[in-house]
Order: sequence, then C-alpha cells, then structure tokens
Amino acid sequence: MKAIIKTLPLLLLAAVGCQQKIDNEKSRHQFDVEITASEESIVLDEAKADQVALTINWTKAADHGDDYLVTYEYYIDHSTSTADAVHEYEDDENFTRSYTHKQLQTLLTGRFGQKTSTWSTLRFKVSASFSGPAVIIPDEAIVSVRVKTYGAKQFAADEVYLGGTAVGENIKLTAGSNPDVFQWQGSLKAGSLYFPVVYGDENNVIVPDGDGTVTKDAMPATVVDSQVGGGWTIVNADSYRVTLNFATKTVTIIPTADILEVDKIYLAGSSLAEEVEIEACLERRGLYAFKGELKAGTLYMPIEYNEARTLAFVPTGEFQDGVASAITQTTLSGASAKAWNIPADGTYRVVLDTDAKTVTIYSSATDLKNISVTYNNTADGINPYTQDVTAMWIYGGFNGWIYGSAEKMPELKQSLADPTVFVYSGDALRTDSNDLKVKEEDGTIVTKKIVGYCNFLVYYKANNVWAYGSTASAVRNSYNGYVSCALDTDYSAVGGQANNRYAYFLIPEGTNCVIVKLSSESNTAASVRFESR
Amino acid sequence: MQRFLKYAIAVLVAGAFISCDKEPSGGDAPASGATETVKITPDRTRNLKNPFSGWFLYSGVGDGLASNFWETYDSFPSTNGTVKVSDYCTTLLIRFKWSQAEPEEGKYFWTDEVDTKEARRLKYLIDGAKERGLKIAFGFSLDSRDQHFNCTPEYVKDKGCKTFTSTTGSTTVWSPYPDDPVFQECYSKFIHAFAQEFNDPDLVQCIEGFGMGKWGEYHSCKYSTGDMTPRQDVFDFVCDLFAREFTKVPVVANCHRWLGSGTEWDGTKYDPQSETMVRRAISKGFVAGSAALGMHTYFSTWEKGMFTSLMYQVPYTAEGGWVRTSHGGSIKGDGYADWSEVRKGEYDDAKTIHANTMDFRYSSSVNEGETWSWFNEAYDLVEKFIQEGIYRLYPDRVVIPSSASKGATVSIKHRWVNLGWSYCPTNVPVYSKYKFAFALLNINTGLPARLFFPDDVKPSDWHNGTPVEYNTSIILDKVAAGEYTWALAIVDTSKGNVPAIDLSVKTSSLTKEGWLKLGKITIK
Repeated sequence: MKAIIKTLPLLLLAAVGCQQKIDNEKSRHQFDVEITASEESIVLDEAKADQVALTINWTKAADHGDDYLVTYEYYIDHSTSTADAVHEYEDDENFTRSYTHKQLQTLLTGRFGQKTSTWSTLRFKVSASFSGPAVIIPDEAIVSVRVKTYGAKQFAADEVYLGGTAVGENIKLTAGSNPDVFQWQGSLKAGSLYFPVVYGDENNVIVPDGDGTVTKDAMPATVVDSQVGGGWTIVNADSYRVTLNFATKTVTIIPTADILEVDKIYLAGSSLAEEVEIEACLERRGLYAFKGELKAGTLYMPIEYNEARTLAFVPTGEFQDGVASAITQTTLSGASAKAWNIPADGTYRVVLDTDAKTVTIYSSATDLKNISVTYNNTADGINPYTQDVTAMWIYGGFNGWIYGSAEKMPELKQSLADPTVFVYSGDALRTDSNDLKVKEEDGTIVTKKIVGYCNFLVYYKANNVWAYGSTASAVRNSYNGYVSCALDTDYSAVGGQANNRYAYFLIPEGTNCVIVKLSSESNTAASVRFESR
Repeated sequence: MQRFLKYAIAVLVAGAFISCDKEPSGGDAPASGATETVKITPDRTRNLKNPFSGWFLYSGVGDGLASNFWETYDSFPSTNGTVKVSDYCTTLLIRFKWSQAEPEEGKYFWTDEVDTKEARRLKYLIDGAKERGLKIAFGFSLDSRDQHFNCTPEYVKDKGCKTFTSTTGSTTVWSPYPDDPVFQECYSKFIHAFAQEFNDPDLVQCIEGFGMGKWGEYHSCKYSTGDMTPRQDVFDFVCDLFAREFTKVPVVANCHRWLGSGTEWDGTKYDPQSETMVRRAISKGFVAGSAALGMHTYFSTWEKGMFTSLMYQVPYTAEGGWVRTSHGGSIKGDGYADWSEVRKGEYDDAKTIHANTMDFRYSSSVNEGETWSWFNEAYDLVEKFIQEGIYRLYPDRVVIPSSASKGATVSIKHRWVNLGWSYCPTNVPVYSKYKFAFALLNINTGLPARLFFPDDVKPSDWHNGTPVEYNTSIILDKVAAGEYTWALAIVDTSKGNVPAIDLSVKTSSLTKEGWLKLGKITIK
C-alpha cells in the first residue's frame, strides 16, 4: 500500500503532463542560450575577402531531460531590409558560424540589398524550442553587429558643399523641396568647381565622371575620396546656376542668362486684338501650339513664371512661312520692337518648341494637312467612304470590346502642333484579359487569355473601319496577333481595313497616355507609344 | 477509504497508460538489460516523394500545352539559377476533357488504338513523368460551359442523353444533364475503363473526383428537372462510381461551398448541404481538395472552417486561385502588392489548412505563369514547402536492446517527429496498407530476418510540433540466435513489406531497401 501511495503523485503528474500545461516554472528561470559575436562592428575588406571576418557562437539551451526534443533555429536578418531572414536548422549541435569578408559582403549586397561602402546592422538570432510533455516557452538570444560593405563609394551625402577655386571658400548647400537636389546661384570665377561631401565616416568629393569640360546639358558625376580630387573647369567668370542632383547623379552648370523658366506662354502684339495663351501640347513637354486668326502686324510671346512676366520670346531673324526659326529671350518691355511681322491677315498655326528653341508659323498656304483615309463604312452603309482623320478611338479586349459610342471609348485627340499626332491622356487604361485565338510558335492555333489588347480606330461607330493595328501576323477568321508593348517605346503600326485589324498591341500596365503618330507619307504607316505619366 | 484509494489509483493508472502511451513524453525506461540510445539527425531538405505529398506540376492534353513541355521544365530559370522543375515535385497532374479521352465510344486515348494529338500528348506526359520519377494525377471535366468545344463525347448525345447548350464567344456547345440515365450509363462505362488502366498506385498519385459541373469543379450544376431535386441522387451516383472503381488510389473531393448546387458563388453565403456531401464522400474513402488558395473571397471562412474540421482525418490537395497572366492588377483588391505576395498568400493558406500538396500550375506563356512565378518570385517558398510543409517523419531517439535472450520480451522506446505541417495519411483506406514495422536485419544480407508490427504505432498520429513517444514490447521469438541489426521502416504490406514511406533521415543511414538502421543486437 505504501508503494502505491508513493506512486500516486507521479501518476497525477503524468496525467497533468498529458494535458500540455505551460510549465511557467521552467520558462521563467531557464533562458540559458547566450549568443556572442567576435566583433561589434566590422569594416569589410575586399583585400581580405577569404579571411574570417566574424564568428558567431551560442550556448546550449537548458536541459529539460530526455522527454523534450530541442530544436535550434538560427536566423540572420537585417535591421532595415524587408528580405526574408536567413534561416537554418541546427540539428548537429554545431553552435558556431563563421563568415568571411566576402560572405558578409555577398549577404549584405545580395540578399539584403545593401549598397556598397555603406554601414548597416545585421542581427543574428538563435531560437531553441522544446517539444515535450509540457509547453516550454522557446529560448531566444540575439546579437547585432554593425558592418560596413566594401566597394564603390555611394553617390550620397550627409553634408554637401560647393568648393574649388571658382568659389574660394567652401559654401554649404542645402536641399530644396526635393531632398535629392541641391542648387546654388551666384557668381563664379574662372577656375575649378567640385562638391566636397561628408557621408558617414567618409570625406568624399563629387567630381566629373569624365573630363571637366562644362556643357549645357546635365553632366554625369561621380564620387571619389577627397584625396583624389578633380573638378569642372569654369572658363568664363559669370553668374551661374549650379545644380547637383543625387537621384540622377548629374551636375548642371548653366549661365543664368540661358535659363528658360516657363509656367505659361502667351501670344501678344498688334496681330491680335488681345493676348491669347498658347496651348501646351499633350504629346511632349516644351511643345506649345496655337491655331487661329492673326492680322498683319507684330507678334511676340510673353513668358509667365512664378506669376510674373519679365521676359518674352522673339525671333532671331525675319518671319519665314512654315519654317522653324530660332528664338531668343528678351525683356518683355523691349519685345515689341523685336517681334515677328505677320505679313497678311489670315489663319495661322503657331508652334513653339522650347526644347529646340524654335517657332514655326504656318500660313494657310503652308499649313500641315490632315491624313485622309478611304474604306468601307459599314456603320453608315457608305462604300467607298473617305474621311480626314481628326480623332481616333482605342478599341479591343482591354475594356471588353466597347464601340459605337464616342463617349464610352477612350479617345485620342488631334494635336494642335501636328495634325498627324493623336494623344490619349486620362485615367489609366483598363487591362482586362479576354480570350483571343492566336497562333503559337509551333504553328498551332489556340485560344487563350490575353491581357489588354487593343488597336486604334478612325471612327467609333463600328469596329470594322479603317484601323491601325500592330505589325504582328494575323489572319481574319483564323487567328489574331499581338505585340507585347513596354512603356515609353515606339512601335510601328499598320493602317487599313484588312488583317491589320486583328493585329493588336498589348497595353502595358499603368498606361494613362497613348500617342499615335500617323505617317505624313503614307496613310498605312504609323507609330504607337504607351506612357505612364 | 482503502476501497476508494484502490479505485482512484486504478483509474489513474489506466488513464496514464492510455493517454501517455502515444502522447508526447515520458513513458517508462526500457526493460532491463543492455540498451543503446540511438539519436537520429533529420534530413530537412531532401524532396521526399511520398504518397499524397509535395508539389504537383500541372499539365493538360489540349492545344495550349507546349510541345517542349519537359525540355522547358528540365532547364527552367529561377532565382536560384537554372533548375529542373521535376526535382522539386512528386507528381504530374494531367487534366483533360472526357471527349478528348474517349473520342469514339469505347476507344480510349490511353490505348494504342487512338492516335489523336491529345493521345500523343498523354503518352509524352506520362513517359516524361516516369523518366523523372513522378507519379501521375488526373483531373478531368465533361461540362462544356466556358469551353470552345464539347467536353462530353458526341456518342453520349447520339444515344439520347438530354443536354443543354451554352455559348462561349461565338461558339455554341452542349453539356449533358448529370441526372440523365443515358449519361450515367455512359459515364459509368468510361470511369470503369479509366480505372481499369489507372487504378494503379505505382503509377497514379490520385484522381480528382466527380468531373462534373462548371470547370469540373462540381458547382453551377444544371439538372434535367430544372431544379435541384436530383442533386443528392446524382452525388451518390458519382461518389459510389468513383469509390467502386478506384480502390487503390485516392479520389479527391472538391470542397466547394456550392457543391452539386446550381450556384457558382453568392457573396458570403454557402449551402450547408455542401458540407454534408463532402463528409459523405469522405466516409466513402475520398480525400479532400480545394482551389482558390490565396484568394480572400473564394478561400474564406467556410473553406478554412471545413479544412480545419477535417484536419488529420484526410489529406488535402491545395491549388492557388490567382492567375498571373490574366488577373493583372486585380490582386491589389486582396491587398497584394505584387505576385511574390500572392505566392506568399497561397503558401500561408496551405499552411493554415495543413495541406499535403501544392501546385505549380501551367500557363502556355511558360515564362509568365504560376510555375515561373514560384521559381522566380517566391523560390524560398518552393523550398520551404519541401522543408516544412510535406510530411517529414523521423524518429529522433530510439532506445534499443543490444542483447537479449531468444524468446525474451524486450522493449523499444521510440519517439517520432513530423517536421512538416501536413500529416501522413495512413488512416485513409487506400493507405491503410502502410504499417510501421521494426525489423531484425540479417547482418550479412541486410534483409529482414524477422518483422514486428506494433499495432498502436500509427504514422497518421504524428503531427508537426507534437512528438509522439512509444514504448513497444517485442517478443524475440521465431528468430535464431545470433547478431542482427535493429531497423525500422513504414512498409507497404501489399508489396511484401518493403519500406514504402521515405523517412526524413540522411540517406546514408538507410539500407538500399530503405530500412533505417538503428544498431546491433545479439540474441543468445
């Protein structure tokens, strides 16, 4: 009987154990795993790539007896990266890991996406979990190590200065509303110009990525150690605007007089009863156009910037009908004296290109012409039917084959600068997927879901009209074709009312602008471009 | 008092033995005599090609299948370099339509007398799977809705089966009413012929059941009565048909909330009868499957509830729902920023329900579809499912007697761990042939001299995170005195007790036949 009574507590314990109770007593007091790193911080060295840079060790978890299975899991994660942690099981009780300089470099720049020559923090964690009769809270230990990668210096800075003999004393720069752009405007002497920068523990300098000749365009720049030196050469003392852009890694150095800053542009002069704003064209920034009546008289273009008008565009030579002519800026007060002389009353098209710094003025005699097409107009029952192309509509599976309604179809509007150009600009286009019978590479014809296919119609009332499709092979009533398109790329298009209607473009995701340019040489040729603005 | 104590002790003793014998923990020390404690290191990475487990590679016999299917997958791009996809898989799933399988009455595309392009593709796929050590799974459908051709053979209609029509694009197609007796007679013959060829567990992993309803998913059903009156009878017919014909390979019942009903989907609603029907199928030996993993609308509360309630009763197949080449930006509606997040969503759903299999779905745009996405946008999860999803069974510690007398009773203490979240389905009828066994191996031949089958050791009881310990008593009879090697395995009792379940241990610790070697014993 005594023996039985002695056994009773053990049996009770066994019964309790089988219910998977949490053993708080053990959990509170037996967090034994300790993890240590051989270094707190490391500067990785490419010259020592194969040498051990870091060793991690950890200790054994508390021994809860043979009834418990302990599982060790080892993790490496990064303090800022969203990449998944390195995860390993350790089943052989090998509680140490060593890493060479190269291994850590690869881990940081590869998996965790860190930049070269940059500090960041790796975290090493060990978790010991226990499976057994009672639930025991896992034992975890973590150690962090600061590591600086090797390799090319980063085009980055905590502090930015303008330096060189062109400025004398270093001038500290601050970013404007765009944190990547540092701009300074003022007088420079003839001499050298560069940007001393401080980045972490490095003193660097931003210099030309090439020779130091100053051009009018954005110039590639690079970062080097301050001991290396280098710089741009300012030849003429003058007033300049200097811009350092960390996003594009470029520097621009422009004489203040050459800077064009525009919010709005107007037409003014005696050829107009009152000022008219010239319309910005959708197909390209810097392109403006007007079409309307002008009287014989003067014409110039006041420029509005920051709600002020101080400058105007005027020609550098005489009026030439239909010819692109160079322009320059002058003070608004003196613009009238330097203006174009419109020779006669009439309808004119005025096209300003601020990138090319030209203006083209077309009289009725030289004006650009619409493209004309002739086809079987099945919607209105007219065959043959000839029309000028003055608008276009996007048609296809991308929005469920909508046609018949100009309002429901995405419309491409004719450009004022060039009547052969048509632009859709608005909401992002739908990219539904729909069945399409297509020919596979092996010649078999299959039906499959195709995403966002479209072509371009010159008339909205029917889908069987003159259309512009892609160059893909397609045969009516047999199979369709398609060209996969990328943003910001020009694709050839084919006009007609034949198999070209079954050759589609696949609209790239995010497209909210489409530009169709018809050839002025042939109404069966065109180009298509998709953009996301 | 004395009587009460005796009663209490008796109850506790019984309880302790019943509950702890197979539960984690404890147990008594082995019987007296020399013992050896063997600790076994798991293999956590090897792709174990076990029954009803692992990645399924999808294919079909239609025109969308690339003619270089195997060549493409044998040298496939991934973020881990070029890989051979079949190395990561256990199974090739082949989907087809009934009309492709039986182009003329009684002529089947798996036989030499049919030489259609679909038949040639089937042979190409099966031969390729065999070469790569994959088993085959089949899925098929007979309903033509949303298809561009008739999915049921013409002869079924010619024999007078009542049908209904539908339009796909500009094509009109027909489908049979599943309650029509002509249909049931023809379908029964087809399934019988199909099973004659493929009720073969050495070749076939599983069969997706039913084949009926829209997309073969057995919802949106239409019956000749115009209402749902025949629903239950048709379900019983098709369940009995598959259960009768497929006795050796599992048949998967699609767990759809509108199973057999006329509804495809209706918001958050569901038909309670669907659960009853699924359970009825399971009672007839079916296992379970679900599509639409990762889709928060179509794999939702009802589906998760169903699978939770069936957990460890039957294994599950899991199929993702989002399609990379056609669903485009719609994934953002489920909160996914990109396709790597979609894959993670599918993986998490599979983990939630402890699915046994996952899918590499096929796209004719091979380098844009789901398989490409798994290998190039979620490669870590491809490996992780192999490492942490499929069932990975191993004994982490075994205490064996190292010497004993002939005829003596010895005990072996052994603890089992499942490193994967899915379980080993030896509790379903077609897998009941798999039994755990200890063996005494002949020291010279390495072959079993004596086998022991402890009835209480059931691999289906071994679940992730809960090691199970046993103290097995063995009588060393019917064995000659001498030295032997203790070994263990889960064997196929229908094939001469050969090791059949690949344990999650280093291959170096296995005999070439697959026995896990433990240690020596001398029997005097």
